[in-house]
Amino acid sequence: MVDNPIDVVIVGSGFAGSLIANELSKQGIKVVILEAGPDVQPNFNDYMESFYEASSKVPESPYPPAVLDANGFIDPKTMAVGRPSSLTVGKSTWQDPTKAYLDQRNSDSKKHTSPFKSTYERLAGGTGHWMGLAPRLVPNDFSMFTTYVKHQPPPDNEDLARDLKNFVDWPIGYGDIKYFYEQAEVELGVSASVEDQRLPGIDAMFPDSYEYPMPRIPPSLFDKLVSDKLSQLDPKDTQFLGMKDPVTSLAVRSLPAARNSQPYRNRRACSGNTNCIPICPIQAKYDPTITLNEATQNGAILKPLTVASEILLENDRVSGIRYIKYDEQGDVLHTVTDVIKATVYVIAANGIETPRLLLMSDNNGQRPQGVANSSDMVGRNLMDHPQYLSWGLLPDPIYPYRGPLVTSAIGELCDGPFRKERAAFRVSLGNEGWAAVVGGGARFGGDPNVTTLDFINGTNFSRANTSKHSGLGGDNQALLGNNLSSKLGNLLSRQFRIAFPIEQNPDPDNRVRLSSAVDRLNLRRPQISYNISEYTKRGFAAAYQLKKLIFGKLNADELTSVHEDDPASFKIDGIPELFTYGGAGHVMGTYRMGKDPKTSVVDDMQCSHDHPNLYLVGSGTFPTVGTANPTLTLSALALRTVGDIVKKLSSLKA
Amino acid sequence: MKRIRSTRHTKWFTLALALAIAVALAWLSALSTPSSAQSATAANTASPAATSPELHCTSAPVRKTPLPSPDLLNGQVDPFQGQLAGPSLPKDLLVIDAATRDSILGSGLPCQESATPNGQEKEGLENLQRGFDFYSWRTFIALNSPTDGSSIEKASPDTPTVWEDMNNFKQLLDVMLPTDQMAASWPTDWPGMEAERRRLMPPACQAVIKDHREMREWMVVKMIEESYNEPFKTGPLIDQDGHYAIFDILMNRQMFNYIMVNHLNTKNGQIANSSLAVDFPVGSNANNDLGAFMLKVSWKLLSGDEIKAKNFHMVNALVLTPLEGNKAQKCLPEKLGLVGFHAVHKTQSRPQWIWTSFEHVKNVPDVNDVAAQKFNGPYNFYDENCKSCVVNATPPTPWAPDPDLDLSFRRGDTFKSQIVRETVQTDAAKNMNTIFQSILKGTVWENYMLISTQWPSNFGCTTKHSTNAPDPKTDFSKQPDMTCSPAPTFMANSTLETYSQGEIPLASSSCIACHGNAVSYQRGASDRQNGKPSLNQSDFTFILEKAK
Amino acid sequence: MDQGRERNAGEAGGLVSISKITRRAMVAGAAATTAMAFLPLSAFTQTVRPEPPRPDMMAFLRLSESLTGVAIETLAPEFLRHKEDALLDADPGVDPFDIKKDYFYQLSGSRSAAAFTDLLSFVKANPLASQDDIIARANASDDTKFLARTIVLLWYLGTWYEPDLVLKNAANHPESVTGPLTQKVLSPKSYTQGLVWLIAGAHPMGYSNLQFGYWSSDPLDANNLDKNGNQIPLFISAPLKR
Repeated sequence: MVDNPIDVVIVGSGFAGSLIANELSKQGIKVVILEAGPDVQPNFNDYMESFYEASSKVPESPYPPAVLDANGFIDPKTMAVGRPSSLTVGKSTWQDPTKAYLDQRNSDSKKHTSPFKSTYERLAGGTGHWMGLAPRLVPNDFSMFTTYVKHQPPPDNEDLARDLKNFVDWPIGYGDIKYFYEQAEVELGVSASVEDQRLPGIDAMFPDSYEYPMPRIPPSLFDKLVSDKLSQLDPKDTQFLGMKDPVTSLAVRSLPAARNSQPYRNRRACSGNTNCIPICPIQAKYDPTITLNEATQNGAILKPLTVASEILLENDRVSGIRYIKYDEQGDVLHTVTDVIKATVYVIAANGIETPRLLLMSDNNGQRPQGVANSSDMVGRNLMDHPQYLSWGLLPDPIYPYRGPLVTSAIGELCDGPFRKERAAFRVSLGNEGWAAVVGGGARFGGDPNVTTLDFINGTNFSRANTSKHSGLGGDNQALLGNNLSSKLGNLLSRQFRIAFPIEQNPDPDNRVRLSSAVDRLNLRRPQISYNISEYTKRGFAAAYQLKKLIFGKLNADELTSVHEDDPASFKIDGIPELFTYGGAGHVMGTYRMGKDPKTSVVDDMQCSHDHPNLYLVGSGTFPTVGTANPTLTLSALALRTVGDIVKKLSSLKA
Repeated sequence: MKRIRSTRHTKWFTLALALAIAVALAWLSALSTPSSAQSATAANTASPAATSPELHCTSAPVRKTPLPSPDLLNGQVDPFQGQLAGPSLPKDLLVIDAATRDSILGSGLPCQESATPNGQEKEGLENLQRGFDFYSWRTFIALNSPTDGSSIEKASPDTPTVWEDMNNFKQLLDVMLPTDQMAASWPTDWPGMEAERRRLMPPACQAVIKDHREMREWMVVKMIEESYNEPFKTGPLIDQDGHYAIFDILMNRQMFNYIMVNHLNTKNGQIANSSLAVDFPVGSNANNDLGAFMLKVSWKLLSGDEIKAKNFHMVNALVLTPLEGNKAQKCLPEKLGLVGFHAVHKTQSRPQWIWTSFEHVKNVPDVNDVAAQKFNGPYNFYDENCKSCVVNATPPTPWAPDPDLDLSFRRGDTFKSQIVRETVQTDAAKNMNTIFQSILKGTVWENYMLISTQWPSNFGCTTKHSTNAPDPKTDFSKQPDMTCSPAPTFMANSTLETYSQGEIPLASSSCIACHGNAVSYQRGASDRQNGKPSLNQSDFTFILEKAK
Repeated sequence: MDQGRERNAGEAGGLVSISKITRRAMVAGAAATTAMAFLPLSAFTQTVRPEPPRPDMMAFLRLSESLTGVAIETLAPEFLRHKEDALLDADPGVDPFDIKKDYFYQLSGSRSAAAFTDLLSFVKANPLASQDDIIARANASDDTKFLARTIVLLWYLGTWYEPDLVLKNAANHPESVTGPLTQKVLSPKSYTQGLVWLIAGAHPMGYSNLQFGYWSSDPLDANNLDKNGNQIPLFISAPLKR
């Protein structure tokens, strides 16, 4: 391909891929990055234009490829580089491969499956639509089995017993990556105060002298209200939480965020565009194109519109990666297929696309299970942080739709003795009113559109247009004039939402396989089987109780609702209401790390047990997921892997 | 954003103008000649005479012949008859008569703009824009007039200008010094200024300037990343000779003084002064005060032929190459040609500042020119004959200059930027340019044109003031919008915002929208007490974030 | 944490929305315009459209004010109201965004142009009509009723909802919205000039002209006091009568 042989080929230019590319290039190592999607843009004009004009401001709305056209959903088989959409997780679309990119048809009628709702991007910079939150995992997250399962008698409930037995320990502990967390925080530019991160009962996470790169993001008015209302709690009311010590208050703390609170590396500070997902118009929120651009400045070569289609093996070594370079001019697709060779290979294509590539790589039938899969764990243990969503109206205006989407959370409930019986969760306070929870689908978009339409048109899609919630004389009121502006202003300014991202335990039946459905390059698309376990449902039950407590303290008028035909809906014993979940955008677990090659795919340096020159990075290596957003952890792990790659290069080249 | 107007437009003007007229009348009697602004002593006298410490501005009328009263702008309205906002220049407008010409050329640097919605144009907005554009041309002429006080009509292309004079403007890098160096100073006497410049002269350049008296004759550009990489790392600009375009930022004394007095020149100083709401001084006709003024300029390295052709304003410059790894920095003597000029001025009535941008006329074609294939080259940053060049594409990586190549982007000049102006200038701006280019005919300045002036248009918004704050009491925390509806909504200079051109909110270049995001290292921009202004906003300048 | 933005609570049947950039065009990095059912605003970017005749624009503003509950002074910030001028002779002014002109042309060029002209004629004939009178007149027939709602949605959300296809359908069958639908965000400008955010005390998501830390403070700015020391609201409510 080039005069000088390539040292490292990286598939995927997202968080992990760009960080590794940059660190290696800085050391003069020759790196080529294959990126399935389009190149970095010189500015955000196109993305912002797409976003502003989108009728539904879902996470993918600024980015190509479009999911909708004048005729409805575009069939993913016509897309060279498709990806999942938040618009195709509903009843009529989630199992329709002519609309949804992920094939979620259930081949086993005995097993119940539920929609996997999280999405990702496939273009330079990867999933730049992330929220920007950057908390660390807590020490016990790395040792769930030893801390909460190993020494407990199994519970009576069979499902719960099975869930607990599926827990494993990470092959490393918090102490092993503490240094790399700090490095990642510098690279991403994290704003936080150490005081806020000292969660009670979780000691020694930070040295006393530690300073985050930038001061914390200031709290919103809603944060301050919740903090005030939860400052005095009756420990009898909070006993259900099963914490080690009685809970007499719940602190609302600033979340660490890769969001500038000061000028940082030539980027502006946050100005509260309230648009972190899907895109920060001024790039105050870190996205991987920033590091990717550094990498290419330092000599890395980025090859966009280049899809890796197979990992080729020679004995136990990776000998090359077959790729398809494509070009879509008008309706005509041009492709060129070739093979790229290097000494070391890194697959950084996210928790679904990486297993997809591994499974596709059957090497002429010699590897029917795919590459790096002697454990049969590739694709298994797919985990997200399913979110319990709740929302309502406060008695007084709190002025949402201002500031970053999320500034603070209640974090201290992420660990405790209860974890031997139920999933942990954090409590995320939203600043975006009902935008994330009241949706009108592709047609109307999210709130405030839905509520606005309701009070102008006399409909009730938001469920707020009943006299109980609106305070008007009847239901389905259609208003105009000052009546409209004052009523709508009052309602919108009182909206709030609280989300509880809930831990999932590993479950080998939650997995990524290959579908028979293909994309435009004739590559088999991912097939997903996913479900919510008993362990996690019990986490939902506790979150539900906490929600009632919080809503009571806020004196809130609750509007949380679930459609009966929501395919993600489920019941919990003892609770009359129907539950559902939202996706958090966290795609984890599908090629996990471990000490034992029989039950894990990579070692603690994220190197494949089967192939010494193959690294698999990203949140797919997480054996368990805790409750923290995965980005900071996967970034720290990627930085830690760099050293191993450098050593591997010299040993392999010698 | 929609905004409120608490008072009526006309009422404000009547009040303010009454005051302005009163003051101006007093001044009228005092002035003998229109321009006494640039009173710096001649550069080549050996004896160090004391100089006036500040760059002077004027609120004097533009023309001597009085206007029919009431003259709402006190003689500062432009003297051109007819509507400029149409496609063609009004008949009989050119040639401008000598008296008018002299009056405009000598009118001096305006302390404040004078613009009103009433006038010869059809729409109020057009009249205001015309007032601002006239103010911009006067500003450009005043700042680019010879610093020795002679008229711009007599200037040669390389005559040192007012803004290049180290008595009037100081470069950013000479203010935001590393903390291990003594803080910057700006003496008012020549020996003092020369000594300060010598102190901050990089060692590589000291070898070139042997005689301290030559100090004033050189523009010294110490390159950092922002000197070749456009804002937010959007990319460098490469000319048709394969050289980097070079950018520089300067500020006037009032801006400098505010920074130093408030210890904003270092990060620690800013943090220690976190209770200060940064609010630079304003220019005002009433007080005959210039206020804060900052410049951003773009230069092109000139070839021998270009120097001979005399189409660019030129300076002798020493360019210190940026620090790259362990390689030694070089101090390259170059003849630089001016290709882009941003002048930004904070005034009493426009606390969001007034943003003026000029370019060399031969920088780039616009989209209409390219579509019609009607060119007026050769261009500085566009090749009419290149069919394979991708328009407005950033250069290939790496972007950092190779120290061995002396500001050439690549060996063999293999890459040249192919830049097109995406937003065509308005007819009004083009007509104003035609008029001024005829006024400046015969000088190198006829090769420059105004792109536009961006100014905050919502008067009800700009007139809001903070309570409980010291003058000028700019209100940065008003909601819903503190940018006050900039007009025009978008503005980009093809040499300075090359890759951010467009008309998409926040993504495309708008001076005020982008600079509105500027903050300092002060801490504590949250819990705002009643009436206390917000903290850590840095008053529309990114200069403060360059503190070390 | 959360993927946020759009739990799919509602189901779209059939046509959903027209996206400006086609799939292939987006992958190639270029923008293309798809055919649209009504006047594409992008066609006007190169030529400057003339301002509509003053009485029509003023009638439109009075109509809009009565329907939206937001005063002309906020809808048209350069509105100069001379007490001696009749409303229809007043100068609506031109501000840099001039979103009123975009909306005027959108309405006068749409399928509902007749109903639009009808409402304008009513205001022109009754310039002193009160807000309630204008609203009543708009609600008098289906055509004008749903057009009035479309007008409000234009001002509030910068989005065009076809009166008969979208709004009538939704209002009359609130349980299920089916059938071909057309609604479209008019332009980035119209989205960022949407009023509903201002009414909520905020700004459009993705478009903030405020500064770091503002979200920690009350939007009713303590500095925003009129000369009597009273809080100036974020927008001016429409007067009941002019």
